[in-house]
Amino acid sequence: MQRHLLTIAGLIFLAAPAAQAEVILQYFETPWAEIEARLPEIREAGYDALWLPPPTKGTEGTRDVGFAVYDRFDLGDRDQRGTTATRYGTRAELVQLVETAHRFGIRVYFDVVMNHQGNPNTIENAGVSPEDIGGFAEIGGPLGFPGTSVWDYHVLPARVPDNGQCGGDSGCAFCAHQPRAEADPDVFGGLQWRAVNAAGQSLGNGGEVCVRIEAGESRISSMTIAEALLDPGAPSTLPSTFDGYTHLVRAPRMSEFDDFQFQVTNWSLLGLHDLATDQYADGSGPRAIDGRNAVIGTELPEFIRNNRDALDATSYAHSTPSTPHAEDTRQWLIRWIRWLMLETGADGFRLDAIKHVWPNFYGEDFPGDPIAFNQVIQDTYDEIHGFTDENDFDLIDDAAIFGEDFSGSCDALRPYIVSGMRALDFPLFFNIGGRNGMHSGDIGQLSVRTTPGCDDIGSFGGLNRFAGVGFVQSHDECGSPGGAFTNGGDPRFSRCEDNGSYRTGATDLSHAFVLMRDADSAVFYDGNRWTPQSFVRSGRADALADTFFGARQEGLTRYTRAARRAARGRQENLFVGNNAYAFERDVDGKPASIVVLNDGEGGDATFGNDANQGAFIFTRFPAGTRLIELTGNAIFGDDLVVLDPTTLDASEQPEVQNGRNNFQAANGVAPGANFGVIFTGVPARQAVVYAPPAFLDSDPQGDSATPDDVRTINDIPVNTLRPGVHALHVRFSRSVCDDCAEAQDEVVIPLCVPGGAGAAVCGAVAAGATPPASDAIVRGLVEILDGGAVAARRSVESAPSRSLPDGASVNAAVVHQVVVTGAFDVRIAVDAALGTDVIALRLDDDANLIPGTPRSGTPERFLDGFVALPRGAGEGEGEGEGEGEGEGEGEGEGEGEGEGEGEGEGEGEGEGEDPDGDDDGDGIRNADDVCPTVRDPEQSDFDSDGVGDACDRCPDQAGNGATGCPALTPDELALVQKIAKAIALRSPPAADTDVDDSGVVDIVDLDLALTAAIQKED
Amino acid sequence: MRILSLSLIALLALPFTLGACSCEGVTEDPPVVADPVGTLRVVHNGTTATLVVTGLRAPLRMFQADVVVSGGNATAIAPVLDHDTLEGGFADGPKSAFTAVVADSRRLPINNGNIASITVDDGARLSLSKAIAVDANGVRQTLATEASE
Repeated sequence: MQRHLLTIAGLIFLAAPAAQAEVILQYFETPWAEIEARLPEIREAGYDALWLPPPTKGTEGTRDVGFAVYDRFDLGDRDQRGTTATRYGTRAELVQLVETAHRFGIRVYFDVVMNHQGNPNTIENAGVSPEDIGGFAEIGGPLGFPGTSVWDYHVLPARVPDNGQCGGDSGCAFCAHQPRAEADPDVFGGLQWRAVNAAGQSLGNGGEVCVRIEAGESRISSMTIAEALLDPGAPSTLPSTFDGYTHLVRAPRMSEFDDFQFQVTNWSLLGLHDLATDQYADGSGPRAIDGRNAVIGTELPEFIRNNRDALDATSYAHSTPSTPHAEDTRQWLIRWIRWLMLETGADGFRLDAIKHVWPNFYGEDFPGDPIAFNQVIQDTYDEIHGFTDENDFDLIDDAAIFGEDFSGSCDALRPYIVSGMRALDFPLFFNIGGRNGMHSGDIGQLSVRTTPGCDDIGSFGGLNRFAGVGFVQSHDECGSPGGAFTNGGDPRFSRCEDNGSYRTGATDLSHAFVLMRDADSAVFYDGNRWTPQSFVRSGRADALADTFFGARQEGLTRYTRAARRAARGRQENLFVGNNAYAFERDVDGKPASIVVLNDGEGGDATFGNDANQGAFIFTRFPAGTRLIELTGNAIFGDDLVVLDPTTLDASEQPEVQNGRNNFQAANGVAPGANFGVIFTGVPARQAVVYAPPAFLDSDPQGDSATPDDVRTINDIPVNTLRPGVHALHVRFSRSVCDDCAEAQDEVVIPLCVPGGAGAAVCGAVAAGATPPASDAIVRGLVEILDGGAVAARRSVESAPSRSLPDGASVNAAVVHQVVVTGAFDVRIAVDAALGTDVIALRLDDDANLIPGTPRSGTPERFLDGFVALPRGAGEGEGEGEGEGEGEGEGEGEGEGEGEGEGEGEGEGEGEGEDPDGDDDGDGIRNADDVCPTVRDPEQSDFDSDGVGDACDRCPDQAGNGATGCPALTPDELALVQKIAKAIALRSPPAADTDVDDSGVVDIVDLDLALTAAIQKED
Repeated sequence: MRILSLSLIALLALPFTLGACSCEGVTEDPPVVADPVGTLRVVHNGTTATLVVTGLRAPLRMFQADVVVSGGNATAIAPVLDHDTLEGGFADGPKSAFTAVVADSRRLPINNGNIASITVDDGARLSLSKAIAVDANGVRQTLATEASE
């Protein structure tokens, strides 16, 4: 096997393409079923991925958040720890959540922990007492953890102390010995093997350490060495340093979190049982262990695991359950992570507590291992998706792997990043400093592209997009400096804020920067289910724009939505001040969006506290470009036109200097003659985002516009769709101006197929809700036609509010879904004056009903997996016809009853009165039907050629054949064929083949000849 | 730093709204677009080599690509869908080098997917180059070509 360590040079090389960044929703403390029900909202709010808590059974059963791992192979389907379900639900609910998320284009990442299992001695779970668990042996395995050996852990030989004394410490349950404390200091740096007491004081070679029963514990996990030697993972011989000791105990709790050489990796984190993931040393990087348990010096245990979920030990393919095989601790974990992906379809992982595991555990391919840990994740991801992806680190078609090391030091994070993962961006976390000041009140510092010591992996206040995932708060820490690690304060939403009541806007600016910056980012949401019993800190209560305090809270989602639409491309500074910072996101060197942040609470000289103040700022959008503000925060309106700087007087010149031109020169783009200027005003501690209008005008009334660019796809059958919620993605793009990047937008429409289970399948989201008959037409719309009737009409950002009937104390706003009961059509109509270039569809389903290309590793993913609809084309017609007709008639009548009002009636009447001679059942006899084979009660025929649009292969060109397409005369056809042949044979130009007289015969000539013929036909 | 009224902003913006941006629409003599509109590649399977179009930014009216055959000759070209104008010059015999042409006299758009099937001698491999296209708007485009599989 090859090793898969990345080099720093490799990381730099990778930093080329600028693709859409992901916005990840860290969604904790919430049942799987509820998260699934809210997936339409999650997608509409702009999130691309979910970061979910550990999905396996925790030691404390339903009270366990999941980090105190009990059984890695229990996803909520084994009756143990007092429950079958995990804290979040059953295995079936988990798998269904992932499947549904994928239909919405949402990737799913699980939090996983490789450092430890739980601590069976701190059981609080109802129905399970500590006595039930025992020391090491009673339930499931020596430690109480199924499928493991005591030798899988960092344990110590120990003795019962005399009078509770070990060395100078008192209150000791055991005196434990570190037998390799005398190891060669030249080899191990003199640090790795020292023995220390609980206070971190060196005990010298061979010293004994005190292992205490800590608060909340009932005992120390222990067993006699004689018993341990009966365990299948036991070594054949023990080091002589075991002599004189009677027990094995867990390693002491670490006290020095900076003692990376020993405590951090070898001792117990918070009493949790520390897995021996020790690695073979190769002489480079942090020296690890020579294939031995780092604490007791025994060989890593390799024994027969008879786990029901066993995978083949050689290939790691999924093999017959209960296949016994030999593996060591490291191989067990590698097998598990692959199993977890195969069972759930996970798209990646957040690795907990990475600094407590040697970096080479993740990145190195060790002798005897089939593959390295991070590499098995990437390979399994490729296998699941059918990718042949050579580059696992370019964030294109890759599994997401990002680890947590609570460190702002790039030197500390680098070994883990090089191992093939990104790191949660703690450098950025510390720099933004939460609500009390972006970078200690100097937001301009965040404009620095790189910082000393971080040149290779750093960018804009933190890590670059290939090295880090930005965040403001998570379940472990809050955004405000005063609030970080504070666990006090009872108010429901207060723990990450001031000591008082919840303030939705407290971290708005931090989130705005992290979301719009050039890197993936995460927003933390706890489902508004914070309880004092959980260590999980409260999240942004408005992460999904929930309704509380009497209003729908959209302070954060205005930024997540903006990020989804506009945060793509390279980041270029435009303006840098102490309290204001503006940057542009560029795609292929062309501007795509402008972000302006105002950290105005410090009395800024440019963007002050006064909400009426504004500034002129350079932009690379050319003068005349129209821009729309996406957050609704702009003081001077949400619709502007880029100004020509030459037309402004001296007092109106853009803010450039501001004492920070050093930043401008070093990190930003220099203003030039072709630059435009915008005038903007930003409220204090908020941000604005400008981008060219894409699909929609921002006209809120807008129904005066005529949607005359119509594109359709007909007869999408539902009979091969699984019952449940599917997502129809509609994407729009168009050129805004010659020098601008393409403007893009997306509508995601939840489609629910009732199926055999009836409306209850759809009711999980829609119960009690009445979808509106139509949304306002805003210069463009998407219609779903079910059986010919308009079932729904949607425009971008159409999210009517209603309550989520889940029993939660906080109401939620849910986007409405469309229930489709028979073959349906999609008709997309936009104002042609908008000049939309591409409209494309993707329906996440099982049957690939709308043919599209699979995700294929293109840097720009906008249309990856989508099929573009040409103007007026009825694409998909051929595939859908047969299935659609049968299904529509069979299911439509019965299932239409419970759905939209007009829908049920229309179908019932039409199908009940089908006369002979009306094959498609649209009430129009075949002889009079412009399309007798497709149900088309509207009888639309755009080009008036007698072939209805539903049947017309060329609906925008009058035709004279069965296809509705222009038919050439024999002479015209002969000329076309002659030109085609001349191209094929690379013949010299002739008068009739070189139509454009260019001296070359090519398809331009062919197109001119065809155009002339068709226009003649018209 | 300036404080501007909304009316002043509107005045400043107006001239540019009216005339400065010639952003949309297609000119009469469209320039060649530098960025490829999509990718053309060939997939080999025995004596069949399939031309596959992927990653299109816009549907195509037609495309052409220079083809070089190694290890044998190509003998025929046929549509995978129902596009009606395909040419490789095979009426004059097998070819080791030719230009493949795919078009449709009815203007049916060419979208992503398998487009044309070229019959080749067993073991022969095609390589593509100089692929150009005309998109649905009549704009000449380039197509990226990928190494054969």
